[in-house]
Amino acid sequence: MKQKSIAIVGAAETTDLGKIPNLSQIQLHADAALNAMADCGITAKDIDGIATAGDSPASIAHYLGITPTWVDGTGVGGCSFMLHVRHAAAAINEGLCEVALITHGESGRSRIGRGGFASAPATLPGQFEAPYGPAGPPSMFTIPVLRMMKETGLTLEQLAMVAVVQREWAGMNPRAYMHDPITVDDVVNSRMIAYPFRLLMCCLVTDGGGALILTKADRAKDFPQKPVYILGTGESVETPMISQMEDFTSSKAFRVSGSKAFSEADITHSDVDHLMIYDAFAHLPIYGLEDLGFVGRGEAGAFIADRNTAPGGKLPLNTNGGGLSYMHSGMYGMYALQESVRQMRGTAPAQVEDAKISVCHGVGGMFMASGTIIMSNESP
Amino acid sequence: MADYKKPIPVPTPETQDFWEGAKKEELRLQRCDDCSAVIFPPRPFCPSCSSREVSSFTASGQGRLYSYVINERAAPGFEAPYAIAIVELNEGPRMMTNIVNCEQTPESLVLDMPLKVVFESITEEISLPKFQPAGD
Repeated sequence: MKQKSIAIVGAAETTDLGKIPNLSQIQLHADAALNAMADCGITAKDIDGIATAGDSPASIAHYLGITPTWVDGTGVGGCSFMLHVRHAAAAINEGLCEVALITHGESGRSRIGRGGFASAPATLPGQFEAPYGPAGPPSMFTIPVLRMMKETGLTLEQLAMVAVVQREWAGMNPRAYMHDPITVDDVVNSRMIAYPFRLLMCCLVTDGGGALILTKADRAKDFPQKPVYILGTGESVETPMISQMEDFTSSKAFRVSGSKAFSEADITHSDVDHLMIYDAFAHLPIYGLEDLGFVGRGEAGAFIADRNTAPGGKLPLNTNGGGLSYMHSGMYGMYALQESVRQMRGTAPAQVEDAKISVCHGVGGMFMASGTIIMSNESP
Repeated sequence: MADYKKPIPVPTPETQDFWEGAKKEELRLQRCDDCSAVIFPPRPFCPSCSSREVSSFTASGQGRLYSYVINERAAPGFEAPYAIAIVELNEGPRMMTNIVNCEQTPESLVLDMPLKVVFESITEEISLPKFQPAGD
């Protein structure tokens, strides 16, 4: 896409995050969408494009009173919203719609008005993975990690440091679900979930939602908030079966999506002031840092343990506290995007001083898919 | 077998040969007739070169322990703790499996240890390939 041709003019999360037993999943979409509309001073009548994942875009459009001329229901897990941003930018540039709304709502903890996830027994995952007893992401997404540790020297203590550092960021964020500082000892002694993964290396399970509103950059000045421009975008998919991932020490979807986004944005890694890497589990930022090219193979564990991504470090990472400590509803990508927008607006609770470029990198499924959005707060 | 509470694969036309083989205690893979790529999971074409000319063959049943977790939160029908493992077959493909006849501990489950296939009959139609230590 053309750099800075599209801006995010509205962005908001649900009014509450965490435990929200009084709202169904579709109302979490709507609460976030209404907050995003209020954020940029428009109503549903001003919106002519809709994208969502987890629920049908038809359900959300009808529920909100939107008559769209562009619809995207790309559903590739938690990074779907990164792909929606990319597709919306292309659609607006092509004239398919003028103002696009992307919504997420997920009653991940309270499970009010929400469907299930099990693999049907005639699908390939149903035939060739489910019979061996994976019980959701904690015992599935983590399977490649012992191989990663053996091949690259990544240690358990380095994995634990991912959680420790992100808790430090969460401690600066009043909306984070977890605030109290933790140590490496706390992490490696927390309850075993799926060896070698302990409880504090796994994401939260909470309720919430978020929404983004995009339009052409040359209209951005008509809206009250500081515009956040889309500088570069990328997306890819690899496999829906973790057992069939090409390389257990590196995600092909990460590499393809990341390099496409950096190429579109025409930036180098040293230009990046702020980074979000979707952290469903503690190993995701390790894979992300290496596959996006911020560090070499086998270097990410030490990079984080040496506090480069911590408050005061040279590459602030997951500054909302991440899926490990801020919130994780199931499809966390929307919250990573929201934090990048806040950082670019200058309104984040743990604001990175003078941040001008933010890279927001998402994973979908279990190394199944990826989307990367690079944002800038500098006018075209 | 009527008491079997774990997920049971339902074969499709594309995977029928694999499951018929498993019932006969043969671990069947496919090979591309054009580029010789070895293919798993089964499909009637080659994902390397897009040829539709592929043939089934019986694999050695030998491999090595590539990666795993030891799950503490059992899936329905399972009893924790148990390893969910990936075996890398000598022919190249990797598959998810369980490791049987072996303690489910990090000390007993050593990466790269040699494994060999065994079949567990779970219904009249389905036998699941599992793996056990190959010994010396």
